[in-house]
Amino acid sequence: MLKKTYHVDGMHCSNCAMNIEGIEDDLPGIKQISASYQRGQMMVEFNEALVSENQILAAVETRGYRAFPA
Amino acid sequence: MNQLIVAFFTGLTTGGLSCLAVQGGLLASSLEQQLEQQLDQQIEQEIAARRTRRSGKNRNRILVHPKLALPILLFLVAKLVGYTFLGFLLGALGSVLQLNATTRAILLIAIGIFMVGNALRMFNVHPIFRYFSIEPPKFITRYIRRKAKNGKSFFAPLLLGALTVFIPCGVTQAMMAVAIGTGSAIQGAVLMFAFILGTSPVFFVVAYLAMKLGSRLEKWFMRFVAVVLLILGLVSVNSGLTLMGSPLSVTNMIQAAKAAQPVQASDSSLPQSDGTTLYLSAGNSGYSPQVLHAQASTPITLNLVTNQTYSCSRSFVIPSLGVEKLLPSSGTASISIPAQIAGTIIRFSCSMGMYTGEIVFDK
Repeated sequence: MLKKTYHVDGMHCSNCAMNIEGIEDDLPGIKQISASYQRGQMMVEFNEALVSENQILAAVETRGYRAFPA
Repeated sequence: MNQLIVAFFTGLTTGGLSCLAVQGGLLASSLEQQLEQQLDQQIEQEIAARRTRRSGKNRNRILVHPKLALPILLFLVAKLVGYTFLGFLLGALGSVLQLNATTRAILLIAIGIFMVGNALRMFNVHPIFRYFSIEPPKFITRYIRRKAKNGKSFFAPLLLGALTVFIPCGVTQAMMAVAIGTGSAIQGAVLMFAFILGTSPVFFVVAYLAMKLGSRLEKWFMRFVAVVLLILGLVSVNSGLTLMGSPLSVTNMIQAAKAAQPVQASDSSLPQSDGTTLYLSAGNSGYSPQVLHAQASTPITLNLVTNQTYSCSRSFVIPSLGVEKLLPSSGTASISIPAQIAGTIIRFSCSMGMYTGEIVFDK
């Protein structure tokens, strides 16, 4: 299980953080996403055998944001 | 029953507009979160639609029209529930829960700073202002998200609607005093329910029309909301400073400039003030005259005259003397003011700091 922190661009309210956290329901292999609008970051705990970092970043982009490693 | 009908119509007429001036910022804050969320959904759908177009499947542009009626209703329902509960407590516990002028002033300033901070956050002035955004606890967002798979969060309007119990306007405070007077938890709750129910249509219509107009302008509307928040925030801070009797408030600065001018003509229906016995009219649109001149070094009596007054000017406050008095809607109430040295200026206002005036002590 990997735990990584990313900067997220494009969040403009705390509901954006909730939207990003919703990815954990969509992608298998993600244990938890904790996003913070205040810090402009998200912390992802995932199983790299089931989901890749690129898939996670693509899912974030699909929701209208851009994430990159902190 | 009569008392409940009066409470409902007071809410429907004066209460709705008076409270909108004070609590409109909180409603705007909650709707702003809702609008931002819906804009996010629209962006997501447009991205998806663009991809679909590339694959040639669908050439129709997908648009999401913000649904504002529900968050406004949730805000009002939470407010109704919050005040009904407050009425219950007031009826049961009496004056123990009554907020004094200083506490209200601090609350007004804090709410004002919250609104200004949120406006600056929406203008993207600096990331530090993101801390003014209310972030519900993670376990609640997770619960809401899983309950409502479509991602709509109604936490903000519900929370902020309930929070309005901490910033009652003058008319509401008058009604709160009546709720205390009922001496019964149930009667207090029913009275506040009737009053807040009366204020709700005004809140809903004004907010809905304003927001519908804005939703067509999409992103520009966010800036409009930010400007409104900024103005309401500054007004709230100013009201708090006025209520504290601070010379730094804009209202008191204007008052000071007026005091330097010749004595204004007072309400002709008032008895003539003579330096030791002063008469002040508390009307629906404020106090008259706004500047009173009194004799220094001698105790004075201030007579407050009301005549079918239902605005927040009935809730009279002199912050520097710790005076707080709820005036009858029609009649005269007297306040004794101890001797003051020449040059002293005593500021008075309504309990929300909206209507103001001052007494200047001359030699």
